[in-house]
Amino acid sequence: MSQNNKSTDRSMNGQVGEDGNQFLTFQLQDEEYGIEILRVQEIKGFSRITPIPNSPRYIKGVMNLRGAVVPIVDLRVKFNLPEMEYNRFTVIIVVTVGAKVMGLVVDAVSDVLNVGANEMEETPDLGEGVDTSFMTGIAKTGERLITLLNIDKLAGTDESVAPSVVA
Amino acid sequence: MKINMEQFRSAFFTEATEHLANMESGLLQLEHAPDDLDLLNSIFRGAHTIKGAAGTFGFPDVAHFTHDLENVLDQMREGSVQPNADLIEVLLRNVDTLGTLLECAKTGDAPPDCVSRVQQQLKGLLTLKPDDVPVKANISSAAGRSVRSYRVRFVPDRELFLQGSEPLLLLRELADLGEITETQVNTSALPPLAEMNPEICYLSWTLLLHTNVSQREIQDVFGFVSDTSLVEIVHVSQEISATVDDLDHKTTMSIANESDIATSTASIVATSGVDARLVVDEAERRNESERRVSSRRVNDRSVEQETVRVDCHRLDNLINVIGELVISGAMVEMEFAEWQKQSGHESQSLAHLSKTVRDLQELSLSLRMVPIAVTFQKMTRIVHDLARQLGKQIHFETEGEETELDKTVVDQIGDPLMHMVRNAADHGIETPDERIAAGKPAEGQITLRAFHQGGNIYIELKDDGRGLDRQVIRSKAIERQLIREEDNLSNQEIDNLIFVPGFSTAKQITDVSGRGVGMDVVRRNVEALQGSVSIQSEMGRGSTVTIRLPLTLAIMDGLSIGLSDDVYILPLLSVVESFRPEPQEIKRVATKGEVVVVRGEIVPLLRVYRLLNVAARVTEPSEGIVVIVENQGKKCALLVDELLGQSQVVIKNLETNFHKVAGIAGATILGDGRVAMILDIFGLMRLASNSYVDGSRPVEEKPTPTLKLTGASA
Amino acid sequence: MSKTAVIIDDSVSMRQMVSFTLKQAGFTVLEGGDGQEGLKHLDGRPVSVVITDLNMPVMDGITFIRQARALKAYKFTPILMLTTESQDSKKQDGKAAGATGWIIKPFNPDQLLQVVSKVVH
Repeated sequence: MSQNNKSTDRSMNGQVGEDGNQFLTFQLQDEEYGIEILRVQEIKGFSRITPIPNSPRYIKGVMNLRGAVVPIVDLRVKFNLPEMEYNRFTVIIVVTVGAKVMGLVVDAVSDVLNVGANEMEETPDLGEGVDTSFMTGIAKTGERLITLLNIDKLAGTDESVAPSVVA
Repeated sequence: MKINMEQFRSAFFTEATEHLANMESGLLQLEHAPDDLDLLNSIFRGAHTIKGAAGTFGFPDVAHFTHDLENVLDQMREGSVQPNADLIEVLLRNVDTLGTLLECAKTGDAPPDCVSRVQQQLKGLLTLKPDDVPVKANISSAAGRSVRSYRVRFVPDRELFLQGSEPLLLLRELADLGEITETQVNTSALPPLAEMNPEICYLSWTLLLHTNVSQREIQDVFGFVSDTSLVEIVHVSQEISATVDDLDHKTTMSIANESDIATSTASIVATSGVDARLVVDEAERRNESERRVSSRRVNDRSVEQETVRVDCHRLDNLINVIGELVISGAMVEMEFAEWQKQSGHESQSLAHLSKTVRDLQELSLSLRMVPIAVTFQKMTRIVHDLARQLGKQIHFETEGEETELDKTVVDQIGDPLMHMVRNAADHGIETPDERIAAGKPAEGQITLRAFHQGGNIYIELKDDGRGLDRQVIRSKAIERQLIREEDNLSNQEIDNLIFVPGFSTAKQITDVSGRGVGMDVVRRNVEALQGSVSIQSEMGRGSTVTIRLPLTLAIMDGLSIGLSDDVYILPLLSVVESFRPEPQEIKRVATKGEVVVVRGEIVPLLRVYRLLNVAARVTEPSEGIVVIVENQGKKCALLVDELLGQSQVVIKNLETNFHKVAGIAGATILGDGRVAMILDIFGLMRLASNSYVDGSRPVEEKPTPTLKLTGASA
Repeated sequence: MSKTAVIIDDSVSMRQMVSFTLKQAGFTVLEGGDGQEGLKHLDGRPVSVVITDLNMPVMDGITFIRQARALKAYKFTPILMLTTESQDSKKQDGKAAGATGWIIKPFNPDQLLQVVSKVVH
């Protein structure tokens, strides 16, 4: 069960690939975020979630993904944004973290973005209290500012999601 | 042809590992049955196969090493070397080293230094016998040689055809070596047509071959037939080659000599044919004795031969897909039942389909079941080694090796079992002197057995050693602050303290059991497999450790219960009964929190919603249902909203994509596609006991045996 | 119709290798884990070559060769035995039982095909 370190190899570790990468962008509150497209397994409409007892609040529970039991993380809760009622735009982005699969609840998916190396900037210091460890950097295209997330770190910042990836 | 040998290597390693295990268990058995030729043959065959395959797949080190091992085994078969404990010991170590070598071959690492030492030791055992490995003839390359002419006379054995040989093919092969300028067919032996037997070869040939290959290579063409047919090869190049000199003359001479040798060899073989037949008789006699050996072993073999290797991952996928089929089937059945009700239509075919699907699932799950035999065999070796090391006499017996368990369980039960076996041999069984002084036979007895009982599998390790000293355990537990001086523990509770983390009863720490790893590890490992472990012991008489394991990790009979809008599953095996309690049956006991009184018995009441921190409709026990469950001999009453029904559920591991959650054994997918959590009774009990514990002790290390006792501190 | 070869060896890896090599060379291959399983394949169908290991459980190679040779349909079928260098006497036993030739272990696919070509039309 611990053959899940493979994908961390291609995780970005704060480094942006020289030729840039493709990102799936999505919205949370009024902000745009991006995750590496290669890590996205599929995008699903919101479906019934079963709560997992004694779990952190941002773990919404698990859902049945074609027979697999997949944990669902609400990124709003994870990022300390105000919670929102799930609606018809609410989607779950299914991503792979090592050998594990998890779902991320986001407000809506925007598009797929090609981000060239020159369009990326280091994550600025956002001051005390803002955890930037799971951000890879910021992409600027035209007027848009997109925060790029490192899925492994995101999952790894909390033991409860994918402890084996951090270990 | 370019064929990549790589692709066969993994098959070779798998096979070699199996042979090693067989050789090991064979050697261990041989110690008690030194005359069992059948056993010896099978050990020999293991070495022989590994040697042949290792060379072929490009592991000369392994082949070399195995060659010596094979030789010793061969001499044992011949009776020139007698098996005894020391010899078997050396052979066992050689089997180990062979394992190391194979591991190195697999990883490409350099073999450790000890290999040559072990090999030396083995060589010392070989009775002096000329090494029967012929030095490979160094065939010089044909390139650069001048063309020479040879007269080749070939008189095939009359029964050549009956050996599957074909003279035409040989002559063709000869032609490929160079140019044949003359061919004479000698038909003098040919009888009149009427008397001719088409199965007999009457013809012979004389050819003139011009070639640059050596005489040996020409001889090699006839390799398969040279023992029965006449082959003469004479160098006649003086007539052709301008560069004839003395040296060539000498060559001619020697060739002539060699052809003499070839002819004489044929006659020698003819005479030695008698011996050969004797050998065959001998072999037949052995076969006869093999046939007479208990049918049991023969059965084992045929079972082994009829297996197909399947990648575990593929198997799991199959089982998953079939699990899905079961769920979809249930959904279809539900919808169809509704339709049937409305239409009044009756159908047998759906019922039949449902049954077939269930059969299919059962079948698919059985695919993961493997016998525990291999794990038991390893234990035999461990006891053997330990007994030697500790100077003890131990008779080790296994029973029920054929008991099948889920592959995951078999793979993971090895470590805990090893701990248990070591403990039994090291701490349980006394030295021969101690035993005699205690009025017991000098030889200790350890029995390992596996059996089915009531939907579970039990593995039991029994020794007739000194048993647990409750006095020592108790004082040690007090010293380690695991229990309190005033705690009043039953004998069984004291015995089971040995499973508490950090507890070790060894008076002296031997290198066998080591420090710090003990029965707590055993318990943790067994629990990870959804099982439980307990010990019964009688001082001076011995101990029995019992592991209980679920039949399969993949499927379970469940009782569905409701809490708020969610469905949870309880393992049906743990459920004793369920009822709606009368208000007066619920009591609050100062030391134990809430309890239910069931026919006079006091059972702690656990509010599941509170332990799991989830919503519930019912908070008043008399308005809901209590389910009495039992785990490791302890009962508790779970308060739930309602009972929903029984069903078989496919267990999905939460750890696959998440991690373990206290109080939850796993998840399953319901007929309507929803996920439901499977409750872990033992985990719930532990959660409950934690909530009563005072803060001074680490919550995680709370031992179950003290569940009731430490409640007082709340 | 392709030529048929019967491979008998209790070693799965050896069998795989021999079988793969012969399949590459255009043979249809039937496999058996011991002599008895090998005999099951000799049910009258045309077989171009039989390759058998000697030391096997249930029925060893020598017994197999003797029994195969006794079958009418396989009186003239080339039978090759897989043997190790240390088994000179075995080689003689095999010949006496009716083997056509031998392949000495260890061998590589090319050597195998070379020997096979010696006995197969």
